[in-house]
Amino acid sequence: MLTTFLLLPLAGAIMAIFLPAERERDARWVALFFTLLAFIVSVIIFVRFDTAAEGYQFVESFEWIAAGEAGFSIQYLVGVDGLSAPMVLLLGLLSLVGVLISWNIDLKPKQYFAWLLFLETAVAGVFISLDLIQFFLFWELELLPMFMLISQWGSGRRLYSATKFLLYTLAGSAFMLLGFLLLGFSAGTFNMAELAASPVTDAIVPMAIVFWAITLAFLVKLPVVPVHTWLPDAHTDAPTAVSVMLAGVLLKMGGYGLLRISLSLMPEQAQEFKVILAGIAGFSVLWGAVITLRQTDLKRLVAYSSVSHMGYVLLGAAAMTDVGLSGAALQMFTHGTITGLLFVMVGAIYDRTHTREIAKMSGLMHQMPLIGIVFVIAGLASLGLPSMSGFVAELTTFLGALQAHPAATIAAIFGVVLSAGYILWTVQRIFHGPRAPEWEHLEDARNWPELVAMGVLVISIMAVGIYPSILTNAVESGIAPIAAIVGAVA
Amino acid sequence: MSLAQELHYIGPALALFVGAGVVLFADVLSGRRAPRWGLTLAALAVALAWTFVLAMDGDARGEALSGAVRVDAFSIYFAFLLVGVTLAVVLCAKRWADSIEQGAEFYGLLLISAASMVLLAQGNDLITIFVALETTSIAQFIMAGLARTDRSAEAGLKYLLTGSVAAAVLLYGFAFLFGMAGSTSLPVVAEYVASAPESGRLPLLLAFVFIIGGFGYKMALAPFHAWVPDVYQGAPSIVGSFLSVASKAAGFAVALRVFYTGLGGGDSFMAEDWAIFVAVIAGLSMIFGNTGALLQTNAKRLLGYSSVAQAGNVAVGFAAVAAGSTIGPSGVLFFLGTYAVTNLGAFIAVHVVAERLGTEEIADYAGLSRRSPALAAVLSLCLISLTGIPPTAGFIAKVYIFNAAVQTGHDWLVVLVAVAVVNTAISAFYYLRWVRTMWMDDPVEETRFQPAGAVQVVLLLSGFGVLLFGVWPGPLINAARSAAETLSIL
Amino acid sequence: MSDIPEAAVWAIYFAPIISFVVIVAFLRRRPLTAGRISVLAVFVAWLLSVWTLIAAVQNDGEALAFQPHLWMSLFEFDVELGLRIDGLSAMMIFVVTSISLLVQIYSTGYMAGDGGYPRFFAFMSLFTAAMLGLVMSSSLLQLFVHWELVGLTSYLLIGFWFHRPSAAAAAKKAFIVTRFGDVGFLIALVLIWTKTGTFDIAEINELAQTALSGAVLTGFVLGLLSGAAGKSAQFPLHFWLPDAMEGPTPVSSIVHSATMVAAGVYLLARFFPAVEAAPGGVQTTIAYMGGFTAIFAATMGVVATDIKRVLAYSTISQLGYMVMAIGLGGYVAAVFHLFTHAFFKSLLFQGAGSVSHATNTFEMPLMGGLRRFMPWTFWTFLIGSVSLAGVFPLAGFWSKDEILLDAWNHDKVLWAVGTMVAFLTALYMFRAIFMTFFGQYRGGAAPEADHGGHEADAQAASTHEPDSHGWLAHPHESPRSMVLPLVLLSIPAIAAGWLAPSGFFGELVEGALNADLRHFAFNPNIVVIATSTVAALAGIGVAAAIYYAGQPRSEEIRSGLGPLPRLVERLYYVNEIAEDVLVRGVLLGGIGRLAAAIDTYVVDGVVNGAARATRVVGDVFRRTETGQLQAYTSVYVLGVVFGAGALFLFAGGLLDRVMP
Repeated sequence: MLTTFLLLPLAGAIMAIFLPAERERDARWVALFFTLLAFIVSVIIFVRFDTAAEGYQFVESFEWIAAGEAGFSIQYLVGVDGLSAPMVLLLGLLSLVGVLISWNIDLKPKQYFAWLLFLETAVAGVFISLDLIQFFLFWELELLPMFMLISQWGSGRRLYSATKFLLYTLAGSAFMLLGFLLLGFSAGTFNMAELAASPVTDAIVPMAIVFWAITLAFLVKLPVVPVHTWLPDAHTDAPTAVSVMLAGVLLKMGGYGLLRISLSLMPEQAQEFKVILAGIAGFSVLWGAVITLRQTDLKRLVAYSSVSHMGYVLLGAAAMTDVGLSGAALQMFTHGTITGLLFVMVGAIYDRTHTREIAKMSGLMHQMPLIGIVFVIAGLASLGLPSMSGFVAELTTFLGALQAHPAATIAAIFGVVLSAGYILWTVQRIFHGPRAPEWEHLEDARNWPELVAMGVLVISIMAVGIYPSILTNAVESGIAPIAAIVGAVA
Repeated sequence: MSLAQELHYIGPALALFVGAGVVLFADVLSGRRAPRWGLTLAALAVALAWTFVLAMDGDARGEALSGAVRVDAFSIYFAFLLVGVTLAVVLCAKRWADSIEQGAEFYGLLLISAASMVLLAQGNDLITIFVALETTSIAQFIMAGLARTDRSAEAGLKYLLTGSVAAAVLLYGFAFLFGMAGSTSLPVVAEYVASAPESGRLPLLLAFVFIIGGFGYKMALAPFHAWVPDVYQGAPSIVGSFLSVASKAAGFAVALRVFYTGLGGGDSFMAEDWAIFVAVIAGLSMIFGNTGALLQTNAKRLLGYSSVAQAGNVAVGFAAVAAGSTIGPSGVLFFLGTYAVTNLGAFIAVHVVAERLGTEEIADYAGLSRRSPALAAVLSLCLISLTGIPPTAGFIAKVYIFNAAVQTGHDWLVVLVAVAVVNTAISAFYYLRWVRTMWMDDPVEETRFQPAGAVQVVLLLSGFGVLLFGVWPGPLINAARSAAETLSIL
Repeated sequence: MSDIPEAAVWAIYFAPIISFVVIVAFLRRRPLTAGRISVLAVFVAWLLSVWTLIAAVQNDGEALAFQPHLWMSLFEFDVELGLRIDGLSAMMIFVVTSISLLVQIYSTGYMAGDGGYPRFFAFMSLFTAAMLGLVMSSSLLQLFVHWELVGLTSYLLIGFWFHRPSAAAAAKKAFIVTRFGDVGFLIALVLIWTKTGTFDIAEINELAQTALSGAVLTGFVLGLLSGAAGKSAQFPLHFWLPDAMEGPTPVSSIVHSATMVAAGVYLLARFFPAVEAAPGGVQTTIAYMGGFTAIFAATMGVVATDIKRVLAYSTISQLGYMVMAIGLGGYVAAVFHLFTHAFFKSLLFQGAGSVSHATNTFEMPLMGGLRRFMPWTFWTFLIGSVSLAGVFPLAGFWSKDEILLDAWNHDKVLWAVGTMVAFLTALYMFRAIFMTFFGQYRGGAAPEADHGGHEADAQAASTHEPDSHGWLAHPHESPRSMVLPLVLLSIPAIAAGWLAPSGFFGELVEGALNADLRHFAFNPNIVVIATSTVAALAGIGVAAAIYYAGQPRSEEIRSGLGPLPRLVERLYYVNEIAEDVLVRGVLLGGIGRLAAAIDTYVVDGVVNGAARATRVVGDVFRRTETGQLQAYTSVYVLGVVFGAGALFLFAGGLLDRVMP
């Protein structure tokens, strides 16, 4: 099941590449077909996922590199629990959306969709890998498509941004590999489940170093201040679909790794440094929000808001309580859909106005009410309005974190006002005000791919916001063991 | 031991030597039409040699030529590698060889050099080793200077002179060993080292330094690497590919052999001094190679620096070997195997471009993806593999080697790995910038071109190998392991 | 029919939601149907709310036994949805549905012809639902959720005419300022859950009196207060409300006078036990915040020239009364005033709307003499004003005196303030009456003509006089759909107060508290009554003198007072301080610019710097490749020599000492 989910997009990518040149525009249909299949599979996985059962489900494994004791052997080992199942669903959903909003790409469509699908496979591998080396493999695998997509189909200083993204992530993950190897050596296995069952207590070098070597990579990916500056550049210059994937799922790899590896495999160190983590989190929330307020480029604005919102994930993780961790997990999912939708809307606006300068736009609500309304919905969700998924996640995080980190939590709660500030201010500047003659020619969203993309995201946001149990039950089953591990050493 | 078996054991080298003789002789006889002769004969000879190698039974153990050479899985592994590379070079050389007057001589020299390398890998006696080393070097000096250009001549000269210094140093080292052990046979030397009296230890260390110096020159390790960039750039690209792959592999092979069989490997009293010395060299090589490559604009020169950096990576594994890592030797062998496939592909690609477009400037690779997609694809794969990004062989090899280093449990090796991973990130910059140029920049002219059939086969094979060993490295790892196991057995 | 099925109560909540959904889904192109559906839905809700009220009364105002329903469970974080129907909430439900019903009937006339007619009723339904959800929640979280939704609908309704920059700005301002208060609320909510593990209002109140420490209670109650200050526009978060008048008048008449802004007071009343249990300092804070807001806002009401803004300041001031009462322990007084105020303030706003409907403006200097043209509006507006001014025997009199009585008993200073406010209230209301309805008609304003969907068009469409010059000649009475609500609302504006003497109201709402907090008794104090009545009449007198008789003229008084009037007219520069200094200056200009600069030049600079540094190193190394043989060989030899030397030095275990 999981392997199918992993390989479907890859198959699609290969098929897209080998399309005859004269039919290159059909690549989008290939991509749609395979992402749709993958999405269906992800839904099946999520629905069939048994929240009552313990441990990983849908597990599949075989000796990938079987080189025995004197050699170096790696398992192919995949499975999902309540933490990764929502991530899989999110990935399936956003990849589909990504293809839909790329419908009119006409620059080398074959390569474009091939890379996009390849990206899905890579990220899928990160979320379902249960072996550290395999995890690292997919973690690195995702770099290539991102680099290609940004530098080739991007805009502005795409080259600089793509390279920056690549080197930044590589630099971060470089030490992650070292950390993994140290863990693996001390424990004699790279199997996450075994590592979690009996956490490594001492390595060749102090465990603190191992912890930070690994965690740094996740903090970079998340990202949090001060290792976040790759994000605004990457987002600003990336094509819309890539921004959606980046904000929607790639950032989540950081949060996921934090929970799955930093906390679960090194609970003692996590506890030891949780105050630092919480501090970073609170700081990121405010810092990101304040800078967001000053942005004049619509995409950059949303990008910086991500920095602020991912701070909540770190805060929830740093809380190390079951509720707090759940908050982090929920925030990962909800931020994925919400910011994904925001980027979809930014793209929709950009496609029509051909500018991202907020100052240049005004009164767009008159010409494109639908886009305006959906943007407002996304905005409200992002500022944590109750009845939308963002609120559930943020509240859960706060509830879980206050006891452990009062100062950071209150700082984070203040972030809520700031986000209201930049969202509503943006809405006012872009959509409100009298009709602007220069925008009279704009037309509202009409073509079906766009509408479907908006529709599914809005529905998912509302559904989780109004009836969170569809998500929380899975999350609870996934967080419980992690909470138990970190709780044990508290 | 029967003559038949003797012949069987030295078969590959013999076939190559004989082939060389025939080629040169044919050249003397028939002036003009020699080159075509040359190619056919050379190809035949190498093919024959390869069949000999393949005919060898992997578990064969034994000595030949009264102990001058030994045959074991280790030497077979390298013989296979070296002859294979030679075959590839022969197949790709035609066009260039036809263009110069001494085409046939080139084939002859190539075969001689290859033959001596095979002997080098089999060498079981200091004299055999030294003679083989010199023979291959001299052949390479001449090849490097074959092209009638100043650069080429200069390269040949440099190679020769620095090479002779290295030879002298190596000879010193051997002399020390002989003087103390009273024999040139590695097993005997080994016995002496194992029971070395206090008095004999410092001389032994000195000898060791000299030996490393001598081999370091072949392995292109800093600080014995200075010739590399100039020679790679100056020498004809086809020769460069031979140097960068075969010559380096042979260097490591003999170094492993001498160290492991001759100097007692990880059990030797000087193992740790060794390890640290090599570790320092490894660090230097990586830092020098990668940073030096950052600003290069000439493809061959860049590959020169990269080859220094890669040698540094291997040396990490080498240091692990010295530090007594059980999986170190197989790691080094595996790395060399994948590196051969990868670098061969890269260099041949560069060779083709130099030939067809008459340029070595990376800037001129712009839009190669449109002018010769397959070529661009293979070259990109190889460069990605050199960076060590999945799903390529380079990734596995890197993880393997670093893992070996960590597995020794020495914290200073962990430091070395830290240096190594950072260098990985740095190297990404120049490797991927090259890839990007091929795929994203617009070509100066659109004319498409295709390499000759044979060359295409070689390129596709190496591209395929890079992917195969990246996704399914098991078989090669096992081969490397069984080869490594025979190292320590006398 | 003493016991009401839970479903019936839920129906009150869901009726407007359904109408919202239906309108959004099907009736975007069918305005009139949309309006009717919306009115119908709220009418159903109103009928059921009457039933609910009766049930509550027959239950002596004590909470009806409804079990909450588990909605979501995440470890110890459980979300339960439930109904808390007691005297307090039943009364509120009744008020909300009644006002909403009347306002929506009023709107069918007032908004007629507006391009956004269906949108308006959709939002109205949504608001009604949210407000009902707020008052009937059994859990603090459920309350908070609707609290935010109310804020959202307020945002949407204020910005209803989003094409007007001023409206868009006002909407944003309202949301952000109230949300600023909500930060405190949210902290309180998180805090109380962290300490008690429950959101159930009853439990929290219970624990507040028995278990919780003073520190926690202080934090909790102050948090609630911050939320209340935002919603109920208490100083220093009051300055969004006057701007909110940018919304259509029906909106002002329900959202920003009768119901939503009262939610803050309701919140404090809902948690009255907790407030009582909190350390004394907290209550004093509440009381003085209320008292100060009351008089502070009243002064601004006296100088405003926009009739809706006069009413807005009046609202702030009256809410200040209620908050003050809560602080003084006058639970019943606060709730009672909330109750009466809802009716007459809604009445007054609708009156103002009716007036502008005739004159195209809210600027009183442009009105005058309307008494003759629109008698219904005049008389009802007069009733509302007298009631608000607190003149016996109208509703305002009773509720206000309850508050002043509590002040008299607990804190004479606040009593004095309250009485002063009574004077000012009468003053500005009658100032408004004289400027609007008496004297000569000063011509109104020409209808705006910029966009198809706002007040002016609404008016044009709602009359049979397309010729806009007609306005200037003779304004006219508003259509029946608008007059009817005015008349209906004047009834409670007159009589609502008579529930007090019997103690009926007191007992009803005190049923929400547990026994030991019920100490309401109707025992009027002649001093208080006398002073407040004198104050009110004095206010009316002064207003008559200045704005009717013109003796002395207002200009003379102005000049007499020096800089003071200017200060008040500029609203004490609160807006400037908040927006220009704090937000634009400190936050955006100061912190924001600094942070952005650091982010770009320091944080990112380090990154790019590292990259640059690496290249420099590379360049240096590159230059070592001089191509000179001597150099190469010497490097080589040096390498060997150093290596040898190193080994000589370190060999024999020296290493272990330098590299442990």
